[in-house]
Amino acid sequence: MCALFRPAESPRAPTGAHPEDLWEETTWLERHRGILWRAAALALWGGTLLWFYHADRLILYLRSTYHPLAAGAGVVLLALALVELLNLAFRHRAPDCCPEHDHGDHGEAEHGDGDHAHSQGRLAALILILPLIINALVPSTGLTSYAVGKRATDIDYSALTSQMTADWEAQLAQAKQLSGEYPELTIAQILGFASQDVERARGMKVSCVGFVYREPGAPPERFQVVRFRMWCCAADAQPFHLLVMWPESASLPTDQWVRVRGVIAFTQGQGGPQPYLQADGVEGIKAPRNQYM
Amino acid sequence: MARMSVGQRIAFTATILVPALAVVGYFAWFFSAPLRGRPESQVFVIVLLSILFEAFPFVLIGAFAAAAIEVLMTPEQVQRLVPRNRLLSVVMGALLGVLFPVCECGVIPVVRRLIRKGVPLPAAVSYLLAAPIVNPIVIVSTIIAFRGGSESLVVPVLRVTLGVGIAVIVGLLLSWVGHAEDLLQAGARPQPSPTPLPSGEGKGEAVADPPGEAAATGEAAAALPATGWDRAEAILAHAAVEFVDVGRFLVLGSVIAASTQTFVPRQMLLALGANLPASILVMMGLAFVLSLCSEADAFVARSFVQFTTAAKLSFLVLGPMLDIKLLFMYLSAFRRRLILTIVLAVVVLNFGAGLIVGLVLRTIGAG
Repeated sequence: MCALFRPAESPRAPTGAHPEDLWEETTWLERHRGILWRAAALALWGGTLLWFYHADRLILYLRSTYHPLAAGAGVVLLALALVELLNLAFRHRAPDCCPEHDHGDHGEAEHGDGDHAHSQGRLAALILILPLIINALVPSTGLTSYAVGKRATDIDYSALTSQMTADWEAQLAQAKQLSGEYPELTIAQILGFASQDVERARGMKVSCVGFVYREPGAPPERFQVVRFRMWCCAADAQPFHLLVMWPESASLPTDQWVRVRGVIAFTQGQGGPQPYLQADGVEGIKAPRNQYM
Repeated sequence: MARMSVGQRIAFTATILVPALAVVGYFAWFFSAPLRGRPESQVFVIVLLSILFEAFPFVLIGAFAAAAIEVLMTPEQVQRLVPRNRLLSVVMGALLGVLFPVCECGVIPVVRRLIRKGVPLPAAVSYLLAAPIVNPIVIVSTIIAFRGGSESLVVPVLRVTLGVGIAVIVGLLLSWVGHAEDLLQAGARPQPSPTPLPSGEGKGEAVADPPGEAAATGEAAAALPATGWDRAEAILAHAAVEFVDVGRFLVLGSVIAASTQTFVPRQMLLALGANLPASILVMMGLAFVLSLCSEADAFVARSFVQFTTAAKLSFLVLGPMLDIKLLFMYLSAFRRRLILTIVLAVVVLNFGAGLIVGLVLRTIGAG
């Protein structure tokens, strides 16, 4: 293994030795190690992006609009790796660092400091691969209550939710058609409706899907059902909460995905009426394919 | 060591490498066991990968654009596009992002390449800072995020205005900073120019010669690959190098950004922002820490309803210019002294602009 981390011998001759002699001594692999590392990193990333796209795993990280872009990047990265290898195999030409390649007028300044190019190529490739190694060792299944705790703020999302639910009559009608007595809405929709028309929303039967979150010190008969809203990627995902009143709340493990059926009700909060769900039933479910809204 | 053929050498390496990797993999799996399933590592891994998944396509686009500049344009052609007038060149740099839209991840490789081709540092930096804000996609997403509220007009307009203004001022400031060469990393240093720079009058609106024409004209074009196939091959090779070179800094920056997202509660940050100056500083800090894409940050900014418009603007103007991942990516082009200069200038100007906007809006009752 130490060979991997040994500083690469530079094909550029140190002063004193005849360049040609040293060139003869270095092996093909040593000369091209930087390129091989780079090709490996590109191929690994390209392969991962394509595989994640194919296996529908990108949905955990990216909004679906961006999936084709990520898959495209995967194809291009694989192609770049392939071109690097083909170049190496058939043309014996390396764009960045090899003495046999004539650099023309852009010699020294090309891609880093000549002599460092080999070890730099390897280090850069290792850094690039690092996230993939981390992901392989510590696979992730989704953002949980822990993230809610870190991201939650005293923010009133009504500005965003009302915007998202502008045509709420139509959305409600559609949901009713699809799911009957308790039309299934997103937490954002419920919050949006409730902020727009308290009287219409009061007593409305709805259902929603999210995971169980408990604020520190919350009473046992209540929990929050939470789902993250993702704008572009999981880095910008924000938790949307809806308070649920249910006598058997204590039986639900934190982070358990649930479908809540209930009636919209209101408590008088500081900033006006605050919506909550008076639950008629809560069922544990598997995490949905798309965990975000 | 006895001479081995390439095939033998590969076989030899593989016989060592494969078992070695297996052993290392086993130990890594064994020692990372306590981390698996922990909520912190879940968040960390998701945020890390999502930043990279989102950024890589744009870095790749930037890398190809940079490679195309490298392969298709001589320094003379690039320099001809830049006005001789200092102010004009900096302003053009700031507005160039409208025509060549890139986001903040893709802009770095392009800027490295532009500087190498002889674009003056001030103009290149003002392009770097302004491009992710004047990008039409970013403008549209800002408008969408803020539509239907009292801030629907003022935020998008001021975001672009302040972004361009700050980029221009930073660019002009850099005009006074001595030799550009020792401020740049090797990958961004100007190429030695084979012919002296044309010293005629600046032509602000000059258009690039088509590459085909350029390749046919005299000695300046001699360095560029002549045939289409050679060019394509050179572009691919350069793009690969460029991607890895910039990508490694993106990875390092994302690791730090993901760590702070994992361990620093936002509530804590937001609780600090009680008055106008503090709220501006807090939102600038938040933009730095979150390292969001400039296409998404407006939605996040909108949700901070307890903050003033000025504070949200500071978030939206600073974020595309400076955040954790960008700071690392700057390392691929600039040396520390220059980065420090840019960071200081951007932070001070942003804070000042935020204060002025906040006071003005408060005076006219729109804050």
